[in-house]
Amino acid sequence: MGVRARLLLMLTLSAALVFSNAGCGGGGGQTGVIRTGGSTRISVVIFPGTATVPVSTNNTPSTITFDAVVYNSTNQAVNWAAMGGGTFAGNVFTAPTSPGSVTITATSQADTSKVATVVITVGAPQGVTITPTAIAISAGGSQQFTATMNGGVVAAQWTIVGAPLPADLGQISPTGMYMAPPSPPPHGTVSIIGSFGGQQGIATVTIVFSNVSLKNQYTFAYTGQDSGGFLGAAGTFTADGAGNILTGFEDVNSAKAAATFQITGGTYTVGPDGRTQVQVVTQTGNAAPVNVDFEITLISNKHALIVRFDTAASGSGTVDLATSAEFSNASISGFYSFVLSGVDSKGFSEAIAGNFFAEGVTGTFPLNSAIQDVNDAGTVTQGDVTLFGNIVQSVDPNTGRGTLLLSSTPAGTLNFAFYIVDSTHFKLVETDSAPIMTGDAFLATTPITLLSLNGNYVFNLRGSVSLGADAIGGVFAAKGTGSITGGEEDENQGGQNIHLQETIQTANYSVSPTNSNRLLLSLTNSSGTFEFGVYPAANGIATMVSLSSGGVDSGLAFLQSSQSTPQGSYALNLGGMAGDVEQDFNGAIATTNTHALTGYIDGNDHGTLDTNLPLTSSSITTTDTSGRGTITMQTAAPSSATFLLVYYVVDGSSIQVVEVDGARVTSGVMPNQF
Amino acid sequence: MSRMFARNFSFITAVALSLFIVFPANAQSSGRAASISMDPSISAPVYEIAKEIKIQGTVAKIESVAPGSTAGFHIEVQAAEGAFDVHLGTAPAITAESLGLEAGQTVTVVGMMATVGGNPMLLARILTTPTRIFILRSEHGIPLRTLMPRGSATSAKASKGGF
Repeated sequence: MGVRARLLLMLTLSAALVFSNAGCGGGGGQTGVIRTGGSTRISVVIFPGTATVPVSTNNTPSTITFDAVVYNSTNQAVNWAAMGGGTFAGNVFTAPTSPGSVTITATSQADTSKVATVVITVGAPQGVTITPTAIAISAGGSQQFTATMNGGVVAAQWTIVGAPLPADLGQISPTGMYMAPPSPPPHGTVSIIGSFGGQQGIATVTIVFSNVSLKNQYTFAYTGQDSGGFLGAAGTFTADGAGNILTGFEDVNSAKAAATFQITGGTYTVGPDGRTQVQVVTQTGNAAPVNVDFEITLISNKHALIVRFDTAASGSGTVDLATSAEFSNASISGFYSFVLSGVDSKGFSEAIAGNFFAEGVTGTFPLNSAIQDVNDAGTVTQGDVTLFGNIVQSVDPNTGRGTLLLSSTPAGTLNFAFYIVDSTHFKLVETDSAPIMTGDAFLATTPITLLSLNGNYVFNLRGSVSLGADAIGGVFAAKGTGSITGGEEDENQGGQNIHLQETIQTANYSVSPTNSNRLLLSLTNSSGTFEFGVYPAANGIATMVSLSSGGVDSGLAFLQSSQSTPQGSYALNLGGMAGDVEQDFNGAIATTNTHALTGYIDGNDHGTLDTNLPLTSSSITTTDTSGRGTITMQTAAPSSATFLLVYYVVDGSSIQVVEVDGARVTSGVMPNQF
Repeated sequence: MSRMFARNFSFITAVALSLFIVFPANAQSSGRAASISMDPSISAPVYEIAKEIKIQGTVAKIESVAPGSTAGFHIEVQAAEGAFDVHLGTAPAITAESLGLEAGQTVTVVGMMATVGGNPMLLARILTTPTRIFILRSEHGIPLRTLMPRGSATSAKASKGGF
């Protein structure tokens, strides 16, 4: 299915979604409404966004097949025009016979004041002309290419050129039939080269996300707020790659209710930039089915960011392709570093990080093989070794769901549902009525020594201080010997006290207690010295919890391998508090050569939903030597808002983000799409 | 226009301007806007139970303060010692309705005085209304995040039949 046909389907489904919800007649606020109009304005995007094509010749036209998306309108029709030469037949542009720049415009028929523009370059003729010479293709879609020379079709030899392996660039048949990969490759494009008689021609293919990009079984989790307060959820769903959610399971816990839901079906529509509308049908026991809406922004066909996107709740989290072959107790084997956060039995913030040993098939996490730090509303228990646990309900081979308990003196007995991503990672949500904790466990490499922290680590922590919500981002340099040689950090305390780019001074860390799997980290800045319990996992990840009585913060640290300024297309998630309400945002944004940012975000303001908000006057600064930079992100009127963000680069594919304005205390991630 | 944007736009524009100035300067100097502190030496108040005070007075004003100053739910209590800006917390569930608060009520507040954004305020840990006791902060000053109606272990529930 082409981009245009898929977009029409997407908008039809969106309209149907609104219609069906309206028909519910306000059924207790259980069903969200995804607005396709609302307060946001119409805007137009052209695909492909840029192209270089050869001139047309007398007997061989050089063509570009364009598509346009009209956001916030059910009318997707546009009028195409070219300034600088060439002609349009429908959405197919034929290049002029002389080189130069041509400006392509797509004008919305729904609002003729809304116009998108791209500039293409028409260059020298090629020995072989490929038709089409440029096109945008949906992920998983196909396109027949033809090669002509001197006006006649020739049997060219076809090759695909793009990013090196392991990138999936798609496949092309000997007859020129190209099959796009399930998600955009690095840089979002591939070149199709047709060779004949010692001559070559090149076509440029832009690959955009499609429903095919969400196919298979995924594990997800998110945290946020509903009318009961703090909300945690984890689950699994299976998507068919054609817009249908087939099945799934979800555990949801808040002060309002804790329940396990079966996902009995649903629909989804992936937009070309990866932003995806999902509606699942959930049911628990004999209760009536309830629709739950999500906004998922795809990073690839393997990972995505999720926002609970309906009027009943808001929250942020992640979606990961699951390895169903590892849905067993035996897969949970070895040492795991974990982090949990949420609320205690009184409703105060609580955070735990630790490390335990899982025996595997027995499902036992034995005493004397585990250690944790507990920060319960500022009451801190360090290096607690009373922790033990076990899997209670064995892992279901279909859902990857099991239940387990963790028991210790400072935290009591906590019961969780967990969902396996793979043997190195599972997500947890507590099933007790109180406390309510959620988190992740990652396979750890042991023994943990001073060398377990060796390099620069980007950290991203979230929690509470005396003024309310707290978010911290930063980077520290560990030498592998117990020394912290520096770093910098930013902190947003309740939107009130905002600490920008504080220098982390020389500090230290140690294995404490000796021979344990726990690191005690001290970070000193101008405000004082702050201690953290750090539990390294494999793949350069570490779980962290604050050991300060004045702040209940926890999160993850990531080994940094790049400090380069972001370039390309990124998914974005921000979640947290705006005063006393939860706000969560997902987006797909892209950098330009001039450090401008373009793209769209979707937001859930504690039940008030905004979709397809275009960025305007947004920019990103270059990084400093620590990989830190800043982002100013503004959405266009009439839904105007400004986000001032600090970002820390982890590597070429991952960036951590903290908001540093007074409007919100949010943090999140900005992973590279392509 | 959604609440999200209507609430924040004018304020954040001012903050944005200040941050544009602050970012290039490595933020070591103050970049104040509204009552937000950009001074790295100023942190969220560290709650010390030894510094707690107890006031009793009349609720003179109830307001939910939007982001941009000390966001959250506040009441002004007129006590014998004077008027107090009492910060009750930032949880969505902390509302006049959920706490049963009305202007004119007599309340007792136990908390710690702090200066936030240049303004003195009482960070409330325990609020006693005519019918209930609410524990709104932990002994370390961490504010309540969720009211726990299911099996809450708050002393408020035990003693006065609150949540």
